[in-house]
Amino acid sequence: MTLETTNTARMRSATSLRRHARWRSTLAGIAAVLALAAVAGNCVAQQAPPAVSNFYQELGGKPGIDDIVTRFTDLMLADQRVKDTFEGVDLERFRSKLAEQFCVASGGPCSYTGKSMAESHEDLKVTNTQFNASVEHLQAAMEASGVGARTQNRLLARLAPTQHAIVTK
Amino acid sequence: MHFSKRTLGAAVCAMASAATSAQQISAPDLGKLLATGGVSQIEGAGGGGLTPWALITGYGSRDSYGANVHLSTVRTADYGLQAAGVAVGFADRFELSLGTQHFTGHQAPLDQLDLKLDVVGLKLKLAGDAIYDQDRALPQIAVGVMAKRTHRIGGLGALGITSVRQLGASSDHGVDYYIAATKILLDQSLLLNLTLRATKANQMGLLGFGGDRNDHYRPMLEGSLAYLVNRRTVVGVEYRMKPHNLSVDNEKAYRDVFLAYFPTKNLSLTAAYVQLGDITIFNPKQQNGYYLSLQAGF
Repeated sequence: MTLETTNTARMRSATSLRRHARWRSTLAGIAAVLALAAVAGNCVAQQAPPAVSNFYQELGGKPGIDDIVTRFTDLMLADQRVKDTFEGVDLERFRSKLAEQFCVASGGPCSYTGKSMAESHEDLKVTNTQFNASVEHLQAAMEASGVGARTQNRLLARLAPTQHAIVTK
Repeated sequence: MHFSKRTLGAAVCAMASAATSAQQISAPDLGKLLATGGVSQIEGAGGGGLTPWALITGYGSRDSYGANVHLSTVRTADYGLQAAGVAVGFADRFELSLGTQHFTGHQAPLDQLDLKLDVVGLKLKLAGDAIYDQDRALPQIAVGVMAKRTHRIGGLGALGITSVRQLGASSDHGVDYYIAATKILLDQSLLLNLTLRATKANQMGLLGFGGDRNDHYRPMLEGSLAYLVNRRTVVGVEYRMKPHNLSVDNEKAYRDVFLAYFPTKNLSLTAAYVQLGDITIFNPKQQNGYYLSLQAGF
């Protein structure tokens, strides 16, 4: 009984030691990988400009986004449901801020310098139907620009929450 | 449903002039995004093929309403099921559906079998938005009820059976209660739905409610997982647990694999491969087959 208990205890402590050893080697492995990654990261950082996301590239980079924005704006201006919201809007500025927004949303090398969504839409009394019309035009613009469905949805995922700030009616 | 532009315009003007507050419901606006009303599930509610979702049927935005009709057919080795219905969604918040099902046997000795079920459904969206809330985990949540009644059984007259009670059911009518949570993960192009239903219904109610094995409400889990292939096409799988209340019916879960196609907001087509389990102990064959559904509306 005593012998058995001692044996069991020994086995347990051996198992726990082995477990510790395994943990230690795993941790060491992780540390090594991290160190390598850090070194590699430094090398990449030293040799190449900051990488832009695949997502941004899937939208076609800057020329792709500009094309989407142009198509989108044309569709909006041709739609009775939403065209009035563009009254008195500087279209050049609108296009450039929207392109910035898409660039930032897709992890591109930009920063957004425009107004907040709440500010820029506050007097427009945008309805949910108008917001959804703009989503449909964006989908159509991306499709016409050759953006795949998965990537389209990824951009919509970033923009969909703006509904809360934009729709005020 | 077809409106000329002029009729629609006149209707919009009439409604607009009648409107006294911004919250008032206006004319049909087709204001929701394509496919976001779901299709018509087999009992008539907005959802997948088998399961009600938290989405409100139709394409009316929160300032409007939408409505649709549907026709569905299921054909397995030995049975057929025809379903039809009409549903209205108000303000993207509340849904009313009327559905009817007609189940028939195609294989002797049950080739004369004829079961009918009527369903009145109500659904209320409580919280969340499946589309816009991409920045938080909260799904769209809705609660609903389905009040159901079976008709006289046809085709078993030779056995003297004309009522589901004679098969062991406790009642020919009953109410299902459910809560549904639907989340669209646009970043992954996925739709997830989980529905918890409290029910006593045997084969959705076609074989009555409650039975000799069990006569209490049981919680049943239903789930859908779908991939948004593109704006117009969704593929997915569904699973629907069901109670086992009758000795004469070794009731099993329903499953399907579906493809739904939305060419326009006025039309959708759904095709599926369904597994309904074995429907009765008198015919232990697994009932697998196809499901087709057409929905038309606005």
